[in-house]
Amino acid sequence: MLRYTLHRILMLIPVVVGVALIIFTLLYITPGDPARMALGEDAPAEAVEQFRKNYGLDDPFLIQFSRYIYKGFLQGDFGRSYVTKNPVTVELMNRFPITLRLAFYAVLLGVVMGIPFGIICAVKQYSLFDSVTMVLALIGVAMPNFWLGILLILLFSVHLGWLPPSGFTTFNEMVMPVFTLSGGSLAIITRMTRSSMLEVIKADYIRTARAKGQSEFKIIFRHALPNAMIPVITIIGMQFGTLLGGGILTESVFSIPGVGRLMVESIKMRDYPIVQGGVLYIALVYCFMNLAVDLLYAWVDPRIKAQYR
Amino acid sequence: MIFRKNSMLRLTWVRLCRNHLAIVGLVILVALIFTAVFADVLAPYAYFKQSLRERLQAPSLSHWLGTDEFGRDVLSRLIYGARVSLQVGLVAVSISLVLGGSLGAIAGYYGGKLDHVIMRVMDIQLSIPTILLAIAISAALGPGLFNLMIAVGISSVPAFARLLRASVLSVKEMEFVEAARAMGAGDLRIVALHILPNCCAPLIVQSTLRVANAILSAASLSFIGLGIQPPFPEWGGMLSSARGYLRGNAYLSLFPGIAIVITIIALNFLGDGLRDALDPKQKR
Repeated sequence: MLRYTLHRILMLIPVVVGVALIIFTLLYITPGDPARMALGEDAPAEAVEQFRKNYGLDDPFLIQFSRYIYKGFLQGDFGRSYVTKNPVTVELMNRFPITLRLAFYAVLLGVVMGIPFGIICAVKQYSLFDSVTMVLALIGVAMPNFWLGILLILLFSVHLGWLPPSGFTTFNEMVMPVFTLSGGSLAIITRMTRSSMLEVIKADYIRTARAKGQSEFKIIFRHALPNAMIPVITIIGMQFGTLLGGGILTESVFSIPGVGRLMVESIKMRDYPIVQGGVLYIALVYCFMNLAVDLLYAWVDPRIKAQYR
Repeated sequence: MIFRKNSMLRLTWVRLCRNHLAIVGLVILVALIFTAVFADVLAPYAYFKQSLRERLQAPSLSHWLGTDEFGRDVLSRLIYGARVSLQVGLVAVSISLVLGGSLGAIAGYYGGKLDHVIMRVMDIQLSIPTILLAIAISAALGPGLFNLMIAVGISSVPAFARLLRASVLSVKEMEFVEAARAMGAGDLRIVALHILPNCCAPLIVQSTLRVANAILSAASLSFIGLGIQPPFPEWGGMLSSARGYLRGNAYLSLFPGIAIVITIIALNFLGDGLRDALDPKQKR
């Protein structure tokens, strides 16, 4: 297990550098001069020159990229915003907890509701509960989360006036954004749990358990559930990344000051260091999440553990 | 349609017809494609025709789905929006299919170091959430229909690369491939004529489902102002501008969303149906 963990952590390094390279290259080739954008169209030539020098914009690509990696990952300095002149790390750190919390609650909601729903659907296959849940899940998968957010605002803020349409500090403010972001994942986790449970329930060892007179409760939770959870865990890990990205839309629907909104604003103002930093941060968190999921996976599934003895 | 007796295509079609949901999906899609192609004839008004005297009108006989903040007919804009969404979905998926497919086929067929390098690069791309990557790419390319297609297309390249690599790996050791090689066929011929046709089934299913994803991504990008720019009708963009009129003009934010959901559901139905029809052994 230790060897596997170490192996996986080392594998993370090329991935992180690769992600940084992709994002850095993308924004490097972007048309438009950030110096002009930051200083305004009619800034004097010397000021533009000075700006380019300060931010090292005239250096060759590889030099710029190596500097970015070196300063970023060894000194925690991802440059400064062109607009506010604050360090990127500071700007992101102010916003990141909100985005992370939003994604975390959304995953949590998906797990806490999705898994029980999936289990009930599988156990009572073709019942009314199953059919209704599956229709809702079908719509949930097809629904863009920003539209779900708009509909919730329409119903609960505009018509009923129960919940505030924006913000993310009090519980009331959090209900709609978390549900909005969670919608698709909830549907996917429910469907995955259901189909995985159905498959496991058909297995021979479940029939054996029934034959020896095991109680139905024990069959479902002791025998079937642990095996049925393996694909569900993978899905949950993948959902976390989707939700970190999808948070960008939810944040802009509910005017939540998270990394997503910051990035959308920064893209419009061509504030590249912020955009780069934001994408990198989210990708990093996603990588660590995946690592955690894979380790959990190895811990749950002895077959993987056995490979790394 | 003309089929040879009991051909693969015919069997698939027969099986697909037994699946009611898939047929519903197919019918909706055909209707949507029809709408998109004949938008000029079907739309009661031009999508850009403004009429400030008729702005923000609720649905009525002359404007079935009402008018927006510039007095433009919502129904007409939805109809033209179908054209944009389907175009983006199809072109974006074609881009990822061609790029991802060739990378995956090369990786699977040649194996070894090349395989390792290609798949590691794909893994790296996969560690950026898809929508985030699409946002970054379209931020870099700038707004516009074509750039939107590229951004959405590139962001789902790894999915196709992985799929095709796996299928090629499972096919390339088969005897008929060896037979082709023994008869002196070159690599390109073997891959294109012998291996690829046998990887079609998962590819068709995946492509159908990916079109749905691509349409969702495109709508999301337009919603945050990165995709298609305002005067041009795009469902996500329409929702974005409708947000300012939630109080009093709720219908503006209903119809584009309904259009998106119906399209996605239809594609999902068809995709799932195709999966079952093309591979009856693995019926889920």
